Amino acid sequence: MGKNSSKLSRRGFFNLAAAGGLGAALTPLISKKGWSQDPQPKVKPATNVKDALTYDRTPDSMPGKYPGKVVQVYHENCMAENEPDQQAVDRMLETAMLELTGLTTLRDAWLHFVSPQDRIGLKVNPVAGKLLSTSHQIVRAVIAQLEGAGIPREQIVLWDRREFELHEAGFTAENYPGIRITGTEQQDAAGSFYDADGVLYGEKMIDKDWYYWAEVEEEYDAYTIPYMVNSGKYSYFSKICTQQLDKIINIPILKNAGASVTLCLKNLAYGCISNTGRLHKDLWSETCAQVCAFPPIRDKVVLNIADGIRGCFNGGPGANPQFITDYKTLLVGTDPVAVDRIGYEVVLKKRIDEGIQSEDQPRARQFMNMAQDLGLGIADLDRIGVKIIQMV
Amino acid sequence: MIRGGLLLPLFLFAGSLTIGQENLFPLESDPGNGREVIKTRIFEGSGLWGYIDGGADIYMEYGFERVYVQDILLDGHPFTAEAYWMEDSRAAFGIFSVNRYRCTLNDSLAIPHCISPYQVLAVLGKYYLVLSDQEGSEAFAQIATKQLQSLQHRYLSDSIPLPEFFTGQEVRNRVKYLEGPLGILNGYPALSGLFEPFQAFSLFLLPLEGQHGPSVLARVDFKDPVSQNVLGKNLVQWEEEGEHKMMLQKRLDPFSLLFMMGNKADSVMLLPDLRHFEWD
Repeated sequence: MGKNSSKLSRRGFFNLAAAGGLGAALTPLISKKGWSQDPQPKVKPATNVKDALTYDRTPDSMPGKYPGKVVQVYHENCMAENEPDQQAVDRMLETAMLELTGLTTLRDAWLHFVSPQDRIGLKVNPVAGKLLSTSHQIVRAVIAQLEGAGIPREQIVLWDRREFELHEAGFTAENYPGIRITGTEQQDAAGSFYDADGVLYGEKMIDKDWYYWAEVEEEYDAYTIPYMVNSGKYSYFSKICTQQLDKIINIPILKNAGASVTLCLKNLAYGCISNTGRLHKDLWSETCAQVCAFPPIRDKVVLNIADGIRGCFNGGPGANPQFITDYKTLLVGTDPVAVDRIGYEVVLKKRIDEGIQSEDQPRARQFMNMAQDLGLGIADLDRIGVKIIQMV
Repeated sequence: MIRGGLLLPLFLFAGSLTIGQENLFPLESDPGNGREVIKTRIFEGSGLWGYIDGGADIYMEYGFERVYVQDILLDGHPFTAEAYWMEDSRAAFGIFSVNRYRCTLNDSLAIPHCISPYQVLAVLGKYYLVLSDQEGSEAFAQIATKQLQSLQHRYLSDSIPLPEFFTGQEVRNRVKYLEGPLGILNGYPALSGLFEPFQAFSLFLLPLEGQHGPSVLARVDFKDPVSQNVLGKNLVQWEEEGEHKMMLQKRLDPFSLLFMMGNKADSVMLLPDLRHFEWD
């Protein structure tokens, strides 16, 4: 792909533009009535989100058993030799689960969400590699506690978009024996994305009965297609979530995306469908919210465990070491919108402390408000109940 | 160019891209300089999404060609080298300026650079170079700097021109080049609302910190005079809405606008060249 086509195809308004200020001397610069506007306002592409709303909700539908409730556990000493301490993380997760459910045993707390008959997917995020992916300590804690609740190991699946990224981040059979590790986009042992018949392995992993349609498309070159699976106006849900799992436990990592956050909703929306490259430019917020409104996600995600032991406050979602920080925090809840909202506050505070920005920018929370409007959870801070627990 | 131990101005006026830069990357093994290449990957155009997913957007905004991602051993230490080949040297500098943060500088390097414990960033012509050490070893900065010293000798000339008020020695390590809404959002999000009406623009921006709080000096370039007009009006309205706000602007030509927001006394103190500047 030549430089001109790449630059021309990507120029455009990234829908996270936000109001902001310039510190104490200045006030937010919000697009207001009376302010001059560009004579050609941008029109949003149409999507098929209305299709999602035609499906009846279930008892497990988002926002789950505890709408608007978030448990925020901070552990001052959860790091040891520059790595999360396993015992500390175990205790943080246990504390969060008991607080969230109000139950007295860890076993009961986990069985409140899953059963031994369920095929349970742990949706992690390995995109930023070993430096900034869902920590192994939290994943091991989840697996250990599920097993402690009587969930057979063979019922647990570790998954994300790209199987090879999982491997590169250390999610391997060697490190997780007996756990199925899989992704929508796959390579064979020889490193090929294509089978002997020239068919993408990813093509076999998408479910064309479930899709997110949007009036926007991008043509991908040969380099890119294995990572997108298909081009055109359809993004298909992965069979992992439509056919191979009964319940999903979402374990994103606490990262910024510009002035916003890439956390629960983003990890689900962009992690469960194909052909996502076309959606970044004009539909970032809409995709985060609307894709989660479809039943394969809406009705299967029972718990969100936002891994904020280590995250980033700028330069995200990639791993830029100068912006990586130890938040030493877990955010747990059934309501992904509320967890995102609280995660946003954690990242925002850090960004302000570091001088990256001066104050909240409401447009950076647009996707959360969209998700709230779709009934997926609560985005209003004054309607969210946060239980903060400090551990040492 | 380097003369002895003097730190030369980082930004020269533009020369043409010269032979040799195209071959700068991917790096080759060079045992004499302690460099061994273990693995090389290349991502081109939209393939960048396959490498850094959503992080690719801003590179696309600035104009991205390809990236060489190499795992290398430098004097026995494992590093990752990412060489982003951007549309032009301005784009490379722009991406660099958005990502640099709390930098240490080395006087032996004449190229734009930023040294931090786990990462060294640099601009070599159209390349934005990122050297990363996941272990944060003490030797990392030293070894990475040595590599840049050897590479910058091969970098002949392709620097971006900086506009007036952005060239002084006291400002060159803070100036940002922001392109489009994503550039603003990542580089200086406080101005996102002001630029919300616009699609195609670029600006050189200088954050200033004075006794009375933050200020900013910016030179904006649009592709049409209508947008320049709209911004000028919105700047006036912004100032009128706050008792303590100060805004100065100057239309440089039909497409370019220079403005300063914040506290005038601080800005003039920090930028003496502005003392006698005639604003609109």
